[in-house]
Amino acid sequence: MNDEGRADDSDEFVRRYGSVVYNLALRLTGNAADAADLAQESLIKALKGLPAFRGGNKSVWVYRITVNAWKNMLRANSYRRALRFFSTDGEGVSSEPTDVAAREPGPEESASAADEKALIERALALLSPGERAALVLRELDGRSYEEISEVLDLPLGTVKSRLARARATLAEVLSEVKNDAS
Amino acid sequence: MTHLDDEALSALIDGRTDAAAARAHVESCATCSARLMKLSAASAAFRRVGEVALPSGLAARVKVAAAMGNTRRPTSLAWKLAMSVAVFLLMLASAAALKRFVPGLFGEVQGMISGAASSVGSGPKK
Repeated sequence: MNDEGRADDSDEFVRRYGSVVYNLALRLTGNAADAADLAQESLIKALKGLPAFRGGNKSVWVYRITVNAWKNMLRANSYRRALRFFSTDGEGVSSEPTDVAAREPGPEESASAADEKALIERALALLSPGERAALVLRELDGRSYEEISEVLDLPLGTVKSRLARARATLAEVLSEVKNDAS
Repeated sequence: MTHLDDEALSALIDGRTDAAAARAHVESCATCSARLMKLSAASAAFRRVGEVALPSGLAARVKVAAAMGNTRRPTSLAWKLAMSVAVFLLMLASAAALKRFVPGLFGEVQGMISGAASSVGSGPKK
């Protein structure tokens, strides 16, 4: 998108950043309830801070607010061990997006799309929040490796490896099902 | 033949400039070409169905909260100064009223303070 400098009112701001912020929050927290709280808090904070924003990359600024708010949420909830996902070794426990994975497909969704969605959710559950966040920023918002590195506060090499692992995991889960079917 | 790892293939999907050598290899290697297709298909699947819609009401709540924040009265320096002067005048008027209507109050308070100070200064009796 090319509207870095136009999202000045709240309507346009939410339209431009709302979905990515929510999806980022969803993949970081792993559950819809926390994601809604985190996205709401982040968007309000960003909107209120907008008059003080002095140039630079607005998307990176907004997504950094979300990531920092998530880290504060972890601290507040004493989920300190989950912060290991943002260490360079990439080790940690997984935060299962169970309620998202278990969601029933809506009537508008075709059976195959719902199947594919369920598979993607199953694969995402195997990834760390940091890997899922990198995937959201790259695939849903087209952010560059440098921007993802800045948002997640990670070295460029770590961003590269996390994206590769995320894609490889998605590919494995998708191909397992194809192999079972054939 | 040494094959490319997933990191190199993933960088190729993203069109990274440092992936030029990888592209040349993939064009001549069936194994890497097949792996690249698999990873590309996974990326495409996530883009197709990985996005979850914003919960209903969230956008409206954000807009309301932001609007409330924006309608807050700006606190300029002149406004703060005027409030400080008003508070000072109110305290002065209260003191004057107390002195007029309860003339013995100041003497009593002064006596209590003096008494307390002298008992502290004399220390415990032995």
